[in-house]
Amino acid sequence: MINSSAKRPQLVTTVSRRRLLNASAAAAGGFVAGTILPSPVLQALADQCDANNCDLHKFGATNINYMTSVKHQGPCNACTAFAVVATIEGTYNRKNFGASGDKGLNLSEGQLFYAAGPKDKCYLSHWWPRDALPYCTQVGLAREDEEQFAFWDNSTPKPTISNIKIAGSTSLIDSTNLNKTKQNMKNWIFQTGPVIAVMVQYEDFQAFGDAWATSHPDAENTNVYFPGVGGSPGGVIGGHVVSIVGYSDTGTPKYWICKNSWGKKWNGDGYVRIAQGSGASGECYIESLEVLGVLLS
Amino acid sequence: MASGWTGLAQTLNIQFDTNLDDFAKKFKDKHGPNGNGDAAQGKPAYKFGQFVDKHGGLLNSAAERGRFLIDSGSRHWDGSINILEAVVKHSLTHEKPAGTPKPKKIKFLDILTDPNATHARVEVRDHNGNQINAPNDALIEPAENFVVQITCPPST
Repeated sequence: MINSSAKRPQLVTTVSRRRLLNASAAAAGGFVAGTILPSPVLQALADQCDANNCDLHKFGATNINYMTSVKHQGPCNACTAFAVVATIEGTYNRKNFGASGDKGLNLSEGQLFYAAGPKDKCYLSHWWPRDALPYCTQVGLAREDEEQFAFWDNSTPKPTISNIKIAGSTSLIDSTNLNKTKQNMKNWIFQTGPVIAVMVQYEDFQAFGDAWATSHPDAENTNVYFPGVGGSPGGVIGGHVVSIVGYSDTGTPKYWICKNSWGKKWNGDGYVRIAQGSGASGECYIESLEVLGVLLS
Repeated sequence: MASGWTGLAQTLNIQFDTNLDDFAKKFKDKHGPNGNGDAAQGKPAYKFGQFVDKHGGLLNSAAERGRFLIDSGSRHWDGSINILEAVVKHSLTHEKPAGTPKPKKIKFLDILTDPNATHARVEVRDHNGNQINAPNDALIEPAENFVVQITCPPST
């Protein structure tokens, strides 16, 4: 679910907010030119998301959260389901936030995982997001708040007429130009919503968030993760999938803001800042493997 | 599985054959004289996948390197990966006589797919065809060279 109404900017409609953002971005040398002149307060809101910085889970001066709460995938290798669903929810909520009566989406990761996931289920070795998305297009996902599905209920899901379908997805990777890929990702996050991204998971990634959660429980970790940040990165565990909800080009190093699926306690609040890659070795290749934006119906 | 490994077996075979001495030197430069790392010098212990990915000549793009690392991750292997890691370390740090590098060749066979497998596994044999069954198997030291057969689950 999106945040409570107390955090909503009451007078800003979806349409006017987008124009404000566009105007602000254009002024900053950013994306698309707009026409509406915002008030100082609204300008401050718009300035929170521009070509250099954006955070869809703490958006603007009033910290609008377009993302649902951080979930916990448990011991299952189900990160793909959680990242895909988080990205669909965030994209929908970004588009529809503030629309009359809309309370945002909270969709069923369990449905996606058990209905569309590979046969090995919790012990699967690979399940790429591109293989999960067709189900979201063809069948769609039920709203979890309708209690049709719980994550650990692996009974056969029954598609309903109220399932939320997406129109498809689009790859944001330019295989010959990493900087273009990064720009594609930032443009998408700024204009449309979060993106799905696959990364290489080293042993020190989970330890990074575990250590912070122990020493700073419930506090956001503003340190940026990269393999080997605390010494040796350890071995590679495999692939991992997250939903990238923001970016910063003014931090050192530049980083992505990622919604993880290891619970709200991990790394303080369940989110993690991951260093943007350079295409060199010794990184988690988060821009290079599979980066997808979802298209709403 | 193994989607990042297309053609890699042949490339690795070149490194473990005609480029073996240079390959072994770079390995020790990165992972220490025994492949077990050297914390004082900031050298990490060797883990499967984390040597090959450093060589741009083997994996040409960031996407290839990343996919290879994912395929080499511990989540996707049964315990036999420990045997392969031990054999690679032994091969690339071997000296005879002591102090004189004499790395041993490793031949990688084309990767097989097992439709019933849930994890990748590896079979390592010595020059006589005897299977190496443990990371400390007594067959490793006297082996003249090794043959490696990797079997993967089907790609999803």
